[in-house]
Amino acid sequence: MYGLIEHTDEINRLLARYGVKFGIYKNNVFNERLFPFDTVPRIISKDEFEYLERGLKQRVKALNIFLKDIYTKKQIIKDKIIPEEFIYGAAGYMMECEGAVPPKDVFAHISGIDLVQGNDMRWYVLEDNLRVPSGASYPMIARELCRRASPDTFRANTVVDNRNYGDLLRNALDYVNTGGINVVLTPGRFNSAFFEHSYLAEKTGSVFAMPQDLFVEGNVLYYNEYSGKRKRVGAVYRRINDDFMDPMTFRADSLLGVPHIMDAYRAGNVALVNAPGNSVADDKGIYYYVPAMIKYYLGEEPILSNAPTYLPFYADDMKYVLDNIQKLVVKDVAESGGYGVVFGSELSLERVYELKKMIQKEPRRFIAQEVIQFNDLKVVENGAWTERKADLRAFVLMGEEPVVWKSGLTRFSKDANSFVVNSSQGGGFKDTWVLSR
Amino acid sequence: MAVLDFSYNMSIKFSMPVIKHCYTLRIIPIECENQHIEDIKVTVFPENELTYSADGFGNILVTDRIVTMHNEFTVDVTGTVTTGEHISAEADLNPVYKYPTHFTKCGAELDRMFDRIRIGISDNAVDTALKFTRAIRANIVYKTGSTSVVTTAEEALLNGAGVCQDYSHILLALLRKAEIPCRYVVGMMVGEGETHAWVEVYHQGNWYGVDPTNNRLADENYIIISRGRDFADCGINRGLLTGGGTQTQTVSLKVTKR
Repeated sequence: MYGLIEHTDEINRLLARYGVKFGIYKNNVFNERLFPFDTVPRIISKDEFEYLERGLKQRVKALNIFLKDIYTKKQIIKDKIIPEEFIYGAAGYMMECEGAVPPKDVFAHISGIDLVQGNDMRWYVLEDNLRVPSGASYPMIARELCRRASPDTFRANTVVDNRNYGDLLRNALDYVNTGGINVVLTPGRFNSAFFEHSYLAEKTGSVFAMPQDLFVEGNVLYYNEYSGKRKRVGAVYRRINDDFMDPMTFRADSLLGVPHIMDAYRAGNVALVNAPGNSVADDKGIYYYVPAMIKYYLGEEPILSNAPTYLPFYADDMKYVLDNIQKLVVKDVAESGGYGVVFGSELSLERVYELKKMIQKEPRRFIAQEVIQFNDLKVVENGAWTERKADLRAFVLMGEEPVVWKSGLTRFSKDANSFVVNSSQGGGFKDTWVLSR
Repeated sequence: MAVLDFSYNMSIKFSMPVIKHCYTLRIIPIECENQHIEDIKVTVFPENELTYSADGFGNILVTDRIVTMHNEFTVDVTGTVTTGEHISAEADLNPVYKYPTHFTKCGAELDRMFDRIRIGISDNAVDTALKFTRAIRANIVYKTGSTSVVTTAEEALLNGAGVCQDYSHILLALLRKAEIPCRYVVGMMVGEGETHAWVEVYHQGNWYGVDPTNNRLADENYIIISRGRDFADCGINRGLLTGGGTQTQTVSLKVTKR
């Protein structure tokens, strides 16, 4: 694999040319930034990946059942596994989705589960992304370029081919398709993952559509062809957030949405991938309950652990959080993408005091976690070896059964001391190799 | 029991032609305990492929997408409804009705009002709602045009005046603060020339209609059109259009008892 290092600049140049970029909004200004690629892969052994695979499938299965339960019977609340206020007191639950059961009962078609490996070599789940998880295209295209740059590397190593992501995604779309074409719906080229949208449309053989190409009539979704002919749409891999998806149901000021698409979905005439309303499972407060959810719905012991998490909502946890805040990381449950994350150790005494007061005022709004001692990964920076914190976003695709993509997006932090690896916070990425033996 | 005939008409005139127009109407009375639709006729102009659906609250939606150019949009709904007491059983309460929303969140003014009237809270949620209603009427006066579609409960209370929507939002805010589940209702009332709004309160497995604007319980003179957490869930006409210029809307409603 060291044969790849000398190609670092060349591969990064090609990635830039292909348009592997990340868009960031900062102070209302949109900037496109290259997503630096480090050629040294993260390597996961066959056995280790099989373990992750079992754990991830189990987790996504439980989350999918949870979503159906929350929007229909709400048994998990009635049985007091999850306190009601964690569902209804949060922004994640969407009444607009109440009673809506998607085709084949699949809510979480594509899940991006973020994991980290501690220096004890144990894996911990940090976050579940069940709304519109992005990033699969980066390792896909990086792998392709690496293969071209150094074919020998891949002859010498038994790396599982990751070029099947498009097929897995296509299967997930076909499985729920209600009769019609598959469409990848992008809000447009100013979205931070526009490159990925077009790339995945190509890889899945789907029609690449902008909102104005789609319309609903008689609760059926159609694609307007250039010739003016309409085609029925059976599944939409939509890369638009719920809030903006349908101005007739959600934000009325959305210009990115398709009017009445929610009515077509509720009528069972189209699959929306992922299902609207999944935000209730993404919620950082709900994350705390996922292990309990696995026991409750599947009757199994959770295979993967959460990072040790405290909910100030509970008196004991509140006391622990207030007493130990300087060694914990505190997260605002309403935020995502690495925003609203503070490390107690980095705060001035004054800010610690402010944060404690905020937690006491709105206990439901925060979770606190032990800082995991990451197993740092080696990266090459300006020709020299150094180490960075890194996470792994694993992708789980749901057809009749969940399938874990044998690769993933490994993101590393911008600075050696930073723990925040989200692409929107700077930093780079690596390929993830899963070995076949 | 009563038999009510109603006739609703809405017309919007546009100063400039509209070329694309999507709309969602919540204007058809629902079927529920003690309220049955005997006859209903819906006429919308222009129409393309009028479609009926339901939302997450069980309200009836009439939707369409008009692609032909038009200068006017009219909705006519006439029908006959048998009505009765406004009590409907629901064993499986959706907890969503316990939590404040954008329109029903308490600010400092509602918090202060709540502290003054919390003594009126009893085991009977309907009584509590009526007590709160009297307090609301002591704090705001009915004044047409004093608030708008974006006014929250807190703002209406500070304003000291409002319409049925505001009376209902304030009552919902106070009841939710008292941890009593409640919901917003849009409907029609005998003798009223416009649609009306009131509140339903959940008590021991049943929803009861309470009308804070008129300081009374809803009865057979009321027809329920839609229900939700607040005003935003019950929009009568939600539209998205291209063109149109300025719009002039007129609404007429007639509800008579046989």
